[in-house]
Amino acid sequence: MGTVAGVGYSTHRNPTVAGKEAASKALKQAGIDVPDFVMVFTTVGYNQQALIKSIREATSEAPLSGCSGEGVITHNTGDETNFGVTVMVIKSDDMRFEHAYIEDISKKSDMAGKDLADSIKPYLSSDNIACFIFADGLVFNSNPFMEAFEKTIEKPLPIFGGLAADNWASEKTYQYHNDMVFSEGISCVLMSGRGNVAWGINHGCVPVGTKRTITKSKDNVIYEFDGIPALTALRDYSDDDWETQWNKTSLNLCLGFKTPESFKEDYEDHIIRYMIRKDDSAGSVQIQSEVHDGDELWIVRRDKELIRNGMQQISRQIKTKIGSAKPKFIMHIECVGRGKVVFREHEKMDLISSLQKDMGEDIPWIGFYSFGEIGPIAKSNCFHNFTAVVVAVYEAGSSEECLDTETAA
Amino acid sequence: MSGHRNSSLDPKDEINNLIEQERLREENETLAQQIKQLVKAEGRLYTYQQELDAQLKEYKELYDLSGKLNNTFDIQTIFGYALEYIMHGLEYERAIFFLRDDDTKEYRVYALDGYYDADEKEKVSKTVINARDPILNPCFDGCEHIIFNQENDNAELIELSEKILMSEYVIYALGSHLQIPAILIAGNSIENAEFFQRVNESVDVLLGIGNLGELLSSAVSNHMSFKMMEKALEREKIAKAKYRGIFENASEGIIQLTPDGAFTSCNNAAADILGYPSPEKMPRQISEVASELQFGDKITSRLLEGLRSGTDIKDLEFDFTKKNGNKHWVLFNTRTIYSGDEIATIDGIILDVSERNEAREALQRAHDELEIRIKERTDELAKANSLLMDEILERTRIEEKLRELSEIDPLTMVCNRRKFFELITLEVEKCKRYNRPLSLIMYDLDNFKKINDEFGHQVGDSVLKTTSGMVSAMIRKVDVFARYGGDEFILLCPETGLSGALTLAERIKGLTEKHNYLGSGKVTMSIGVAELDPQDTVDVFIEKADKALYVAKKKGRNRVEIADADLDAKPAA
Repeated sequence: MGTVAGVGYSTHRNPTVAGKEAASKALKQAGIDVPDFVMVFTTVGYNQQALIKSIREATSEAPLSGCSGEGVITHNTGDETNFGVTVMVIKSDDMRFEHAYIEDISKKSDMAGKDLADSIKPYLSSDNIACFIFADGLVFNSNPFMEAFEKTIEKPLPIFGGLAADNWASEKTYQYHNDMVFSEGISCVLMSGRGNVAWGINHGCVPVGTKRTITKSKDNVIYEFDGIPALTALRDYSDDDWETQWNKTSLNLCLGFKTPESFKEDYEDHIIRYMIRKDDSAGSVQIQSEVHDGDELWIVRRDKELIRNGMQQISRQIKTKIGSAKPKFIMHIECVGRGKVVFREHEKMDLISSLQKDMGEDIPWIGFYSFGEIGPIAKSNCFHNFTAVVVAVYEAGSSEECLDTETAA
Repeated sequence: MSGHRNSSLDPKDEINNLIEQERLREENETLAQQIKQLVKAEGRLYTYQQELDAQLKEYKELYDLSGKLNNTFDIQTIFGYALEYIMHGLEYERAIFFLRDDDTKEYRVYALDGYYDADEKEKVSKTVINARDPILNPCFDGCEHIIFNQENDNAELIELSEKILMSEYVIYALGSHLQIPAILIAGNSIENAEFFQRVNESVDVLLGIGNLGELLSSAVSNHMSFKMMEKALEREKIAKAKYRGIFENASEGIIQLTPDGAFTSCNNAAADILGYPSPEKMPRQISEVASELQFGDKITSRLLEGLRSGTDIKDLEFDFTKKNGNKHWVLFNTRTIYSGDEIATIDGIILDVSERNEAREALQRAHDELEIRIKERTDELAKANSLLMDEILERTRIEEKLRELSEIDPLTMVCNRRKFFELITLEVEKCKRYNRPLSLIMYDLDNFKKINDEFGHQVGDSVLKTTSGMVSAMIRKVDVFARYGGDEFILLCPETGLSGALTLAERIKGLTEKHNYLGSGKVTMSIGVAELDPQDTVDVFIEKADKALYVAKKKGRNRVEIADADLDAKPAA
C-alpha cells in the first residue's frame, strides 16, 4: 500500500457537520476507512471541542495533531474566514507518525523545548524524517525553544511547522492533540520511516530604508534602534491610526535581520520578523525570536512581485529535490501577512493554485495561515515571519537523494 | 581615504563635491520621505483591497443568489438559497424566515439555518409572532428593518431575542409595508457573535441586509403572484371543467355564435333540440338552420338582426319543423359578451318548449272541463241547498207551531196551564227583585155545568171561547191570560196593583154580564183578585186568587172578591 493520504475541507457553520464533512472527504480522497494519523487545521469561529470531537469520531479516533490558523489552505483554496476546516488523513506501511504535546509554554520557552523533546525522545530513531511543530503564536519565543529542543534531541532533525493563529483578535489560538483542545501549548508530530521531505521557503520582503542597529533590547523585545525608541522610528511609516490598528501596521511593516553567513547561500539576504506586540509606554516592539544590542536590522515591506517569484522558486526547489517522484502529501504554512491583507482574493488564489498546479493538482495539500513559520535553511532549523514554508513528503528512494536533513532551500 | 580625496581635489572641486553630497543627502531624505509615504499608501491600498474584496464577494454572491432566485417561484427554495447566502455571504450565525399565516394572522417559522443544536432548533422553530405584535409596528409604518443588540432595552425585542436565541439581530420585513408576507431575522448568539457579522447600524450591515431584503422582497412578491396565478389557473381549470360538464351534459341547448351568425360552439342538446344527430352535422351558420327548419322570415330576421347588433334576444318563442316533419317549439335567448367595444361572442340558450306547450294546452283543456264540471256541481249544490233551506224553514215552522200548540189551549187559543206557570214563575221573580206590583185575576163562569147540561157541550165550548175572546181583546199585551182548567181562567197583570186589577176584573165581569151569548143567553162569572205580596210564592199567590174566587162563588156568584192576607177573601169595595 505504501503511503496514502487525503485532504477534506468544509466551511459548514456547524462544527459537528463541518468536522464530519471534512474528515469524510479526506477519507474518500485517500480511499481508506481508518487512517493511521490525522492532521487538522481550522479557524477559530468554531466550537473547537465539538469540531475536534466530530473529526475524531469520523476518523475512528486515529491519533490527531494540528492547530488553529487565521485561515486554512487546501486544493485551490485559501480560506481566511472564521469558519474553515481542513483535515488530512494518512495511512502508511512505510511511515510512522508519533505525536506529542506540551502546555503552558508562555514565559518558559526553553523549558518547553526541552520538555517537548523529552516527550518525543522515545520515538527517536535512525529513520526519523522530520518533525512538525504547531505552537501557540501568541506566546511562542522561537530561539530559546529551538535551542533547547535541538539540544535535547541530540540529533539533526528538520523541523517544520507554524504558529497557531486566531482571527486577528490576538486573543486565543488552539492546538490539538487527539481529543484535547488547548492554548498556549505546542502540538508536535514526529514522522519516521521510509520517506523523505523536500521543501521551499521564501518571504518576498524588501528593505525600505537604511540599516538600523539595535541599541536597547531584552530577550525578544526591541526598545530602541539607533538610539530612538522603536515605535518612534516606525511611526513615520505608519498611518495615523497606527496606535489602535497595530495589527494592520505590523503587517505593512516588518523587520529584517541579516541572514547568518552559515546559510546565506541557501537563502535570501534577510530573515523577516513580525512585530507581534507593541508597548506604547516603553516605545518597544516584541518579535518572536531573541535579539541582542548591536544586532543590525532593516525596516522591510512586502513586495507582491517578490512573493510571486518566491512561490515559483519554492516550486522549483522542491521539484529539483524530488525529481520525478510524486509527493504523497504537501504541507503548506503561509504567513497571515501574505494572505488577504496584501493580495486581492483572486491574486491570492492564483498564487496558491499556480503552486499546486506546478506540484501536481491531485496531491493532497493541507496548510494554514500562521502567525509564524518554521522551516530549515541549509541545515539549520529556522523561525520565519512573512514567509511561505512548503514541505513535500514523498517516498524514500523515489528521488535522487534520501537525506534526512538535507534541504532544497 | 577622505584625506586622499581632499588632497587630490582643488577647492573648487571640493566645494562642488560638498554641494553634490548635500544634494544627494537631500535627495536621499526626499526619497526616504517618499518611501515612507509609499509604505503608508501601500498600507491604505491593502486595507481598501480587503474592503473591496469583501464587497465584491458579497455582491458576487448576491448576484449568484439573484440568478438562483430568478429560476424559482418556490418559497422553500427561495428561502433555502437565501439562508445559504446569509450564512456564507453575509456571515450571520443564525437566520430565520417567518411566513404569514393568513388564517391566524400570525408569522410562523418557515425556514431557519445556522448553528443551533437540536433542542435549540426545535424551540426556535415554534416561535410565533402575531401580526399585531408591537415589535412589527415600525415595519408596517414603512421602516425596512429593526435592529436589536445589547444597546437596546426594548422589552418586546428582548423577549423575542430569548425566543429566537439571538442576542443581536436584524428584522427585515419582506414585501411592502402594506402587505408583509414574510419576515427575515438574522443575527448571532452572544457566545459566538465575535466570529460573525455583528449587528449594528453600520453602513455595511444595513447595506448587506438591505440588498438581500430588496432581492428577497421581489422574490417573495413573485412567489405570491405566482401562487395567486396558480390559484387563478386552478380556479379557471375547475371553472372550465364545470363549464364543460354543464355544456356537455346540459338538457338545454347551448350555443356560441359570432355576430354574423356562425356557430363557434354547440352542445349535443342544441343539436338534438333542433333535430340534428350531432353538433358536427349542423350547418355552420344559424341562417342555414333557420332555412332548413323553416323558422320563417320574421323569426329569422329577428335572430340575425339581434346577433349582428349585439342586442340580447329575450324569450323569443317560435315553432319550426324538424327534418322529420314534426313540428316543435323552442324558446330562444341570447347574451352578448363584449371585449372592449367589440363583440367577443354571443352565448345562446335554446329550450325545447314543445312538451311544455303541449302540456300547457292539455292543462288548459283540463281546466276548461273542470270549470264546467264545477259550475254544474255548484248549480246542483245551490239547488239542493235551496231545498234544504225550505225544508229547514218548514221544519222550523212546524216546530214553532208545535211549540205554540204545546203552550196554547186549543179551544180558547189562550195560554194553557203549563205555559202560564212558566210565565208567572218568571214574572213573580222579576216583580220581587224590582219590587214592582203584580196582580192576579182568576174567574170561572157561574153555573157553567148547567149550560153544558142544558145547551150541550158545543154551546158550553162556545161560551168559553167567546168569553176568553172578549177578555183577550180587553187586556194588554203584557198581561198573561190562560185557561186554568175547565171553565176557570186566570189573568196575570204585571205592573198592576190591586186597585188596577179590581178595575179590570169589574170590567171583565161587566162585559160578560152584558154580552148576549148565542144559544145560552146571559152568563155571569165570579172573580177572585189577589195582589202579590213579597213573601208569596207562586203557589200562595195563585191560591190567594183561587180563595178569593171561591169566596165570590160562595157569596152568591157574579161578583168580585179580593184575597186577604190571611187567605180569606173580602168583597171588592
